[in-house]
Amino acid sequence: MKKIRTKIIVILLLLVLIPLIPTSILVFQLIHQTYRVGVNPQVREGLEQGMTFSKMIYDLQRKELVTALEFMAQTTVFQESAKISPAVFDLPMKLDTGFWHLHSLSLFDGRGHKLQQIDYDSLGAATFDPRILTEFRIPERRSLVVSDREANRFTAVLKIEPVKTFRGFLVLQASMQKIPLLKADSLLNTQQIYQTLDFKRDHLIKSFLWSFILIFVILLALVILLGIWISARLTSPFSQLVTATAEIGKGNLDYRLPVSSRRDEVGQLIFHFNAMTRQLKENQQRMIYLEKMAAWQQMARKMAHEIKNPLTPIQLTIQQLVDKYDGSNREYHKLLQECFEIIQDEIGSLRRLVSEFSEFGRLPELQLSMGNLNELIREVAALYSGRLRLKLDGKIPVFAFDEDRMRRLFINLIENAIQADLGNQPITIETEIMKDRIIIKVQDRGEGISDQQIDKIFEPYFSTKKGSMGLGLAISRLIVEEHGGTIRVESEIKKGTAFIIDLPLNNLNNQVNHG
Amino acid sequence: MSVLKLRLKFFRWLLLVFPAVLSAQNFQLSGILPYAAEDSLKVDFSVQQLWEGKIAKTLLAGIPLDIQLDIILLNPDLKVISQKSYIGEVVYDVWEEKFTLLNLGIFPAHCNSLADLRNWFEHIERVGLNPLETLVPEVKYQVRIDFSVLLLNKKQNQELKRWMQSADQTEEEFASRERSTGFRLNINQLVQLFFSGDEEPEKFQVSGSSTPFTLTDLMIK
Repeated sequence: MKKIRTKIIVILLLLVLIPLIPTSILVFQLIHQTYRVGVNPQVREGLEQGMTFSKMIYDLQRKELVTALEFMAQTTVFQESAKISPAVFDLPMKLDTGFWHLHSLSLFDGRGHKLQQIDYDSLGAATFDPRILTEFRIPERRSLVVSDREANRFTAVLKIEPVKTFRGFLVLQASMQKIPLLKADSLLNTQQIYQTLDFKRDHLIKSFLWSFILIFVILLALVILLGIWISARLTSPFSQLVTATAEIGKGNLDYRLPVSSRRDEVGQLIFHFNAMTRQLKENQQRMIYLEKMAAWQQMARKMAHEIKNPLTPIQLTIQQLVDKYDGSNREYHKLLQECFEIIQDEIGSLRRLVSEFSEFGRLPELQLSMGNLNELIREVAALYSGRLRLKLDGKIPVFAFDEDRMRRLFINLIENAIQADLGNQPITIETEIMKDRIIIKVQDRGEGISDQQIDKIFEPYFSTKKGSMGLGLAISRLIVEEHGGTIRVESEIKKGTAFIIDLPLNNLNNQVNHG
Repeated sequence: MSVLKLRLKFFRWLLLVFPAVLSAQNFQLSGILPYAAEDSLKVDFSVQQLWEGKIAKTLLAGIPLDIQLDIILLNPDLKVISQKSYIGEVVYDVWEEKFTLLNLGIFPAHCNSLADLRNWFEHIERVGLNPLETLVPEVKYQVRIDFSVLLLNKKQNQELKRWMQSADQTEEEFASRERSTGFRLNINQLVQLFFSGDEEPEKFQVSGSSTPFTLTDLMIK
């Protein structure tokens, strides 16, 4: 059975593995394709162009800050005041710019000392590192923008054209509008992630593949476990059947398969197998019984013959002895008469015995013919004038049975019941049809049979009653067995005994049809 | 599909399944020159063609790069006598277009252009190694330099993970909107499980050694 199990597991594995090969190729290509959908030159180009554009805007805004500062430096107020004295520089008022929030404008001298500051809002007092001015050591540099994007603090520095002897710097502090700043950072972040995804392509695809492999391995393990379970479930009944068949082959007809709750074909197989072995057992028992009974019958015939033959000469001889005596001695004559009567009685008993033996030994062949069982029971009951109570199932069909034998059977059982009766209690005969079987129950309210006797009551020459040859129930069982049925007895001391006959309907009808 | 294409596909598949680092980077270490100056052993060297290809691309995208420099003094048996390690980070500010080198004491703090940066790495000079008094005059020494660039450091990997997680969250939100019920395998976490095991950053490394020298040779020069 292990071979079948292995085959089932292998088949299940193949069922999983065969579609897996194209699936794996498909998954592999899908992963690549999916990755390519997101990470491809067009996306890269788009992101790079977006960044370039964003950077261009950013640079333009920075230039705009310097332009604003230059414009402020050129305002009339500033220029005119500068001509008078650096100490009275009149700084211009705030300019409106769409992109920038201006915080403060400061004037520094050439050494980086702050001379004046005008605050446009509360953030104007922010610190300014004068070291930035060292960037102007390069003579050509006129302006620069220093930025701290994280703090959103931008500082534009402009070298002022010398006015008289004064050389200095105008410093404008501002912050950018936050939304474009954040959007630009977000775009940069996306580009960086894209770059990372591009670089990590192989690693990520490998991770996808490993994930796929892990899921597949788990599924494969589940399939193997499922395969083991299914194969065990499928083959287990067959293993049991193999064992059971071997047991029956050895002659153990009592072996039964455990009754399964399964309602599928396997469950039916177990049910029918058990039914078959039960039938085999019954047939075997019937055969044994019938063979045993045949032996008993043969012996009965022989005994009847051996006993019957000398009876007539014995009787005639004794008769002659009595007849020839002249009666001179009265006492002797009386004794002779008494002995003669005793011998006559015993010969009579022996004749009855011989008659019973002969009857038992010469039971005729079974003669099946279609008949009405209920009708037969009613006829028999009529012989006992009201002692019997009948509960007959009207659905019992006409079926094949040996009418004489059946009559004999019922008479035997009724006689048996009458003899066991304690006081004119009614005897019940019930019939019932159950599918393809007829159940007949003959019940008395007599003294019952003890457990020790129950096992022997169907044996020939076993009787608990005086003067009985003990053949009645043996013949009854023989009749039932010959009809392919069974007879059993249920009894309770002082409460009564029931003989239950189970006759197979189809079996008997088939015998008639084939006969 | 031709046999050649199939083979190529199979080869690519093998590359994915079996970890292998194939790099297109060809940067080199050259001109490793040890010399005696200011009572100590110093070394000049040049890292050529470093800021090209993947490395340059990563840096110019604003992704920080980790740099590790190990300068090792070896004896004739090639056993390590001393070692100096410099670990730092190179950052490019995309908006200000400035390069910043963090924690690398021997390098400049800022470079205004990629050309400047290239120039600096092509002329790394006067990196101190050992006091001369610790060296035996007639023994032959050798300087070995290991230079490595770590692409996509842990921080960037974390960024990628966060990105992947955010994709998962979006999916969950979508699922809840759709009132999805029943078993749902979190593929993203599964992928991350394997991805986590692969956190080792992509590393490009180059090594070079000087010709063997004695202290006497250096003093004569």
